[in-house]
Amino acid sequence: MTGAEYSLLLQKSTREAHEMLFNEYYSYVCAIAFNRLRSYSNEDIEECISDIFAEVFFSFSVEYTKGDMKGYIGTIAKRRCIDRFRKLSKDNGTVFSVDDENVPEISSGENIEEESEKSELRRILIECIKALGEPDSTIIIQKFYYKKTSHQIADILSMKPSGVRMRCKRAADKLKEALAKRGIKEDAI
Amino acid sequence: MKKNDLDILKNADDDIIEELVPFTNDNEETKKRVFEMSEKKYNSKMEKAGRSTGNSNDTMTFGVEKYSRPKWYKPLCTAAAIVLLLGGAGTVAFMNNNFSAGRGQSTQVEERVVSEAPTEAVTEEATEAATEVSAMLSEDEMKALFEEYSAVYDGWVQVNFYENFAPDGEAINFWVYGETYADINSDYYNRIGAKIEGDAVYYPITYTKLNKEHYGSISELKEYLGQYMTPDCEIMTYIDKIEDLSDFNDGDTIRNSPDETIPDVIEYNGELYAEKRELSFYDDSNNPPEVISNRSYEVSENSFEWERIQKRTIDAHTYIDAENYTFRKCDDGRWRISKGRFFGSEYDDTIDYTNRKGSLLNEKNGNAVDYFMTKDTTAAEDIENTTTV
Repeated sequence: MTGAEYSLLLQKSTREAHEMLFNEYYSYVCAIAFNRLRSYSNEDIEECISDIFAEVFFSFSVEYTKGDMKGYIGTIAKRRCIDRFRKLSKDNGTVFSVDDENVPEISSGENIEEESEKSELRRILIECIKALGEPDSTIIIQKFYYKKTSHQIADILSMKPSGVRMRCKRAADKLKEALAKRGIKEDAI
Repeated sequence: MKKNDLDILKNADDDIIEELVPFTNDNEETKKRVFEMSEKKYNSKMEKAGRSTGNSNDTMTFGVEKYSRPKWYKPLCTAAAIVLLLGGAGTVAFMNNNFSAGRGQSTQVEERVVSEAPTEAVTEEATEAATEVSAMLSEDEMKALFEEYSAVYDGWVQVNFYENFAPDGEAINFWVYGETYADINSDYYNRIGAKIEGDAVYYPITYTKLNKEHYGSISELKEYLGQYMTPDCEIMTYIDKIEDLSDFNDGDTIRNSPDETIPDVIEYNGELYAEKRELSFYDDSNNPPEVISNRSYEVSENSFEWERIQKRTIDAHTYIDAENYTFRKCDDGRWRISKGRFFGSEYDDTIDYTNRKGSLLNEKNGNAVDYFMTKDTTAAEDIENTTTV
């Protein structure tokens, strides 16, 4: 959806325009939010997603966003996720003052070599998951990444929970095989 | 995967997030809840900013849910609905009259050729050729078999659909093991009425008595479907393994472990019960599919495949769905389905769907072949696994 299209929809009905934009970009925003806030509860993530869309609705201006809205929405999503992450970290007591005497001894936590290796692993993992084909790819992502229950996945895919469980087991086995063929051991993931 | 999760994907780069988007979705209820939260926050922001929300009139009209089912769902349901509608009485009449007449003529041809053959060698050759001509079904005859038999096949595949149950049909409730308790899903568990015992979550499951002709008991069903399917057809194999749960009482737990699978259809006190699902067919009466191939493959005296491929356009996307049945002539002279396969995907203009040398379903393999078979094969495997546990 482009900003110009969204603007036209807004002129007809604000709510319908919001709904159309929400339906089109929900998965995208959800993927960003879950990726950044994975350690927190589903409720926190849903709260963040709703913040993101509220801000998208509120701050939209066709003067700045005439073309594809994906970049605009993605930028707001990432910023709101960072805000939410900071807030949640603070609430959990994982934030400390720079005045603490231990601060100078704390490393940045970034290991460039490890990150580079992880990045390659992620790419191979995604390739192998995609190669499983549908609906297995979605089942694996929903089950092991989004931590959805078999019933919830069944709801999304219009399948039976028992069917989801069966396919999930087979797909996980296939994925392990595919990763092994690429030289990646199970415990590396 | 160390802990059965994909934590490695967290904090991934943008390109990985993009890859995850197609596999990211939620049920309609969650999406609706999040949307409402967004609207509330948006309205609050607008009020604070002293701007009109422009939503006052829209609120009254909101309530239309936009469902985003998997893309293959509509074509599958459409194909199934059409198959149901097309099968029927005309085919039976055709079979009774033309089919038997055709066989009579073939016999005459065979007799004539044999009697005119001058030498033994030529007689044998001629007889073989004549037999082949006489035993082969014509394309029309095979098409008629496909239309009649596939309707019966689909009748079973759709056994859980709502219309196969009386509105106030007798029902029995059981508990089945769901999964290990996870705190983040507690709301969900409450909503579906699950019970939690220790670290195990049990889901309620309701089986309702089927109200469908020929589906009264296992024996009746077996006799009916046995006219259309070979004993080794997976549907018949499934029926052989339908569990009799008469020993359980209403409210009992029938599954205690994640390794035990949950049956779709059960027998209870001599009658058939199934899980009722509120599924409905996609109404394509205003947008009928285009049949782009409807023909036989691998035809021999005793077997043939029939494959129908349809193309349809929904919401600016073009899909194809194919159904392929293998027919086999049995010892009693009757044709039966020995295998049913289905395939669906987005239309690929690099594939020639209409002038094929071999069937589309034979070309596809692995996941692609059983893309649409989740309901049926899984059900069969569920029972099979249950019995081997």
